[in-house]
This record gives sequence, structure tokens and C-alpha cells, in this order.
Amino acid sequence: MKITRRGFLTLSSAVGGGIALSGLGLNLNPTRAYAEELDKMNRVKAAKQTTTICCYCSVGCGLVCSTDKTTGKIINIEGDADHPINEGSLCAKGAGFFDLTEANKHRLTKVLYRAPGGTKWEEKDWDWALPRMARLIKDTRDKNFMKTNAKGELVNRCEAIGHYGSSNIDNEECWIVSVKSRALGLVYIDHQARV
Amino acid sequence: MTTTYESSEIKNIIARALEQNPENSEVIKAFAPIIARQRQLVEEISLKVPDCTLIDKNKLKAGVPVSSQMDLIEPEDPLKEVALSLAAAVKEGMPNISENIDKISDLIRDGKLNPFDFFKAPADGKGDAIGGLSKKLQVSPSNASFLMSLVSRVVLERRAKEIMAALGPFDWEKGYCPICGEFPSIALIEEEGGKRFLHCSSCGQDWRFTRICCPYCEKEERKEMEYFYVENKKQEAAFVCDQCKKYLVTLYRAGKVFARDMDISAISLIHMDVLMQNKGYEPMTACVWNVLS
Repeated sequence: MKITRRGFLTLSSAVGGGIALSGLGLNLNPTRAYAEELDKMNRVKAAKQTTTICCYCSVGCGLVCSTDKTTGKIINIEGDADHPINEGSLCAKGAGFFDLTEANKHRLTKVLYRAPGGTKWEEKDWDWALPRMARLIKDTRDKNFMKTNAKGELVNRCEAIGHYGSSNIDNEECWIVSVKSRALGLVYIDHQARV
Repeated sequence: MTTTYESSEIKNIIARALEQNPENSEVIKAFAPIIARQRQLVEEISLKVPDCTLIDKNKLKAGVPVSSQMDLIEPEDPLKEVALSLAAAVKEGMPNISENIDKISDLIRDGKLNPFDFFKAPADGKGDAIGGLSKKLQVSPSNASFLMSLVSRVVLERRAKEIMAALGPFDWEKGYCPICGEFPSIALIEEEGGKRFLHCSSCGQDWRFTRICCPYCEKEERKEMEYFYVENKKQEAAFVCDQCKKYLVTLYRAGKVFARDMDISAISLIHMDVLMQNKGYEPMTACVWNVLS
């Protein structure tokens, strides 16, 4: 006897397939009622998976991002087990990706300001915060800008401001930060991932 | 993949399944003695050592399962003994069909029904021979088929284990079983690493398969692979393919703390079968617990 795959599938379905559970004398009503209840209470959620690449560093680890189909919101981010680089693993930053989404209840969504010497945080809007930050940076930079050093050599630098980069910004944001910092003449530029 | 367990653990696995999914207790309890007996028989039966020289690893790599390269069920296999042993377990779990099972057992015992005929007929291209055989012997075709499917699982699982041990590691990138060629009945996504393993309920084999591809139609989709899950019970999921309209019940990110039996897990998630079939999807394979009507 030679069983081909097609033949074996036929065999398998012939001996096992098509046997309804009800034909075995089993009562499926409790199971059906539970499934119906889940459906009625809208507890069965539809989601889709999208593969993407981690934006943090040049390693390029693969991620699988799950999104609720109804709300369009991200419900999970995990390492892509099928990705040749990370095979499902993620570093601490990558593993914390999900906390950057709006699912994280502790994530700040408003500008908080604490005045010099103050002890309380005040809620402010961006229209207030952005010009103020720009003004303070510009004033500090202008006040401390050095065109030449002690030897009279051209340096065009500002030693009064340092930029300490975040590990929660991606490559493109890092590039913008770097260009902005150099345009201001900053020389103390560092990144959390390096220290 | 964590599907191995000591035979004594099967009771604990069933007890946990009942605790976690009490709404499916009738079905779990019905299959519990059968699965326990099957696992016991897999360990106990003696089969002729398979001639693995017949298996070409290059063919396997190309997607030709072992079942297409050698016979997996032989006439000299202890099918009669396995059938009679399982018949007792079926009667214990499913008393409503005891009478029919007794009748089939008597025919097997008296030599009037040779279980091998059930497997030989469809392989020879006689698809309706099962019905004919059952009619001739005046036994319920569905009950006889059910018992024979349980018998085939025992023989195939044992043979699959021996073949896998003899073959060693090999490449397999298909959505159907490398041993018997059947499609999976359930998938497991590991808690650590997130790898997806497919499980064949026909022979008990597990194999790894990519998460972005439908095992049935091999549609690869990096952006729209859909799944359903139960709110607050994210382990209970079912991946669906909108091209072939098939679903695959999936244990999502299941931990390794407790031993697991994938068939019991599949039976425990039978409400997912109900939900998916109500939504118009079909299972990738019809096994003894997912044909609902």
C-alpha cells in the first residue's frame, strides 16, 4: 500500500473528519452558550498583525505590532520570532516599546512646568512652553557663545548648554537633535545609550 | 515547544483544562479517558521499526511529507489491540454511544472487522469503502470512523516519534505536517521568543512555522494577518486567513510553568471553534472535536 499525501488526507478525513460532536452524544449547548455570551458582550476582539523594524538603533530588530481593528489602537508590540536579526528577542528599550503608546496610563500627555524654586507642577500648553524654551535656549546660547578660544582660533561654540539625548527617540529624531545641537555650537552632546 | 509529559501528568493537565474552561467541561470530560488511554498506548505498543532509508531528506525539504514516501500504517500493526483498548475508553467518556462501540468491538474481536481495512480502502482510492464496510457489517459509520481515527492517532504518533528520532533535524517550511501531511489543528506561540509551533492532531507532531504566513494557503502577509482573541484572556486566540477563509485556534504566549497536551488545549478552546465557525471560517483540518454540526 502506498499512501500519497492526497491519499493520506483522504484516509485521514475518511476515518476522522466529518464526525460531528453531536453524533457522539455530546451536548454542546454550554459551549455554544458561552461563545454566544462572549460575542454578545463584545468580548471577542479582532486584531491585525503588522511587522516592522525597531527604530532605535542600527541593529534593525524586527517587531510584530498588533492593532485592534475596531479602535485602530496598538494593543501589543513584541519581537518578531521570524526576523533573522533578533529572532524574537528585544533589548530593554525595544521591549519597552509598548509603554510609549497611549496604552501606557502613566505617559505624560500635557506639558508640566515647575517654576525655578517651585515645588508644584503646573499644567501649561504647548503655545506657552515652546516659545519659552526657545527663548531660554537662545538667550543662554547668545550670552555664552564663544567665537574664538583663548588662542584666538575660530571655534563658534557654546559650552553653557549640553544635550543629553534620550534612548526613547529614534534614529531620525537623533539626527535632528544632533544637527540642532551643532547649529547652536554645542560641544557637550551625549546619548543615554552610550553611557 | 512543551508537549512532553510524564503519563501520570495527563490527569493534572485535564484537571487544569477543566478549571480554566469549565464551560467546555462536557467535551473535555468526554475526551479525557480517550486521550489518557491514547498516550498510554503510544508508550506501550510495539511496532515494526520503520525503514527510514526510504525517506529522502531532499524530498522533505521540498515539502513532500513522510506519508508520501513510506507506509505509515502496516497490516501487522497491533490495530486490533489498540482498537479494543480504545473502545473501552470511548465507552467511559461517551456512554451514549456505548452500544455502537460494543457492536464494533465484538466484530473486531470476532475477526469480522479488520481495522486495517479502514485504512487500506481510502488509500487505495476507495473513498466510499468506509461507508460500504460499515453498512455491510451493520455498524454506525460515524462511530466506526471515530474509533478508527483514534486508533490511527496512536499508531501514527508512535511511528512519527520513531521516524523523527531516526531522521534527526531536517528543514520543513510547510504548513502541513512533515509526517502525515495533515494540516494543523492548533498552534502555540511561545511565551519566550514568540515562535509559532503548529500541532498535528492526526499524528501528534509539532513543527515550527512562520507567523506571517497562512499554513493552509501559504498567503504571506506582513501587514494584515488577522486574528481574534478573547478580551482579558489573550491566550485564547484564533488566526484567520481572509484568502482561504480558514482559521487556526492558537494558544498565544502560553507559559512553560505547567506541562501541556496540545490536543487537550485544542479541546479546551472549542468555544473558539464555535466563534470562528459562526463567523464563517472553517478549520484547517477536520478533527474529531471541531466538526460542530
